[in-house]
Amino acid sequence: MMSGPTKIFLLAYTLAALASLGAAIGVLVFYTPEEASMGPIQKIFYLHMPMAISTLLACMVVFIGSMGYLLQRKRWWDDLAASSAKVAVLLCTGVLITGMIWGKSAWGDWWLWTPRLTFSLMLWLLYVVYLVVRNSIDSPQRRAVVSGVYGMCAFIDVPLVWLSARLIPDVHPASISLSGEMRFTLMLWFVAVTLMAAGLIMARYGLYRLQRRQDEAMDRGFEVVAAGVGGGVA
Amino acid sequence: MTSVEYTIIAYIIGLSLMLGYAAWLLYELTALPRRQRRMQKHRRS
Repeated sequence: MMSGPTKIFLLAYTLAALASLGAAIGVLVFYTPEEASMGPIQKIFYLHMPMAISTLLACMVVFIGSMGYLLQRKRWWDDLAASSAKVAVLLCTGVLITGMIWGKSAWGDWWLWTPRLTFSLMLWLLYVVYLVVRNSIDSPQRRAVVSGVYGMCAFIDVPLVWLSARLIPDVHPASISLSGEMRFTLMLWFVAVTLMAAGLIMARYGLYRLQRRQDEAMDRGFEVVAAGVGGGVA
Repeated sequence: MTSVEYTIIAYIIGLSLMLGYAAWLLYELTALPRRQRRMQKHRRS
């Protein structure tokens, strides 16, 4: 059950995330100038890039959670890794879709098999498989160990995504130069998207713990009922 | 479609994903304790 301070924190965090998102949308629409060569389509960048960075950070949390579980065998590490993996898949889906829309409008193609796009698709597939593998194992301990090992291995793709556009020629530029207004907008979107991503991980983690407590309470209830029935028979 | 329309669609999809999941999580976080209380009451009766 949620305590009073937890409810207040949840409400305050939700309001802060929504306020920062509202401010970011307002600045994007009314303040940010259009980029000279690409025009309005370049504005996808302010959502696309923070989502991409948040995806990589969520993958890093999966790696840390997996390593934590394998070292300490505490369930909360596994819950943290699973929560982050779900948010990583969600964010990566957003990155791929917004990138495809940008590509279609700017270059006339929905998809190009360039290194970064290929590694990003691989990242999405790796973490979707992580979730499928988790759901296919019934034993909690076994599930946590298998997910832990897989979560650490899947992280190998993250540096590949990060470095691909820097080391190999790609449609993504290796570096970008932005005007002051554009940099301010990007910073606001970074704050909004990071707050939302962190909030999603925390909320999913809280939900895992609540579900666990509910399952344990149900198990205790069945034990009491079973003991009562057993006592009556005896 | 114009590039403005493409941009608006991209923002709608990207934000819907995050806000939709956030709304579902908030709903579950508030509904789960209620469901648990209801089950306990049902078990007691």
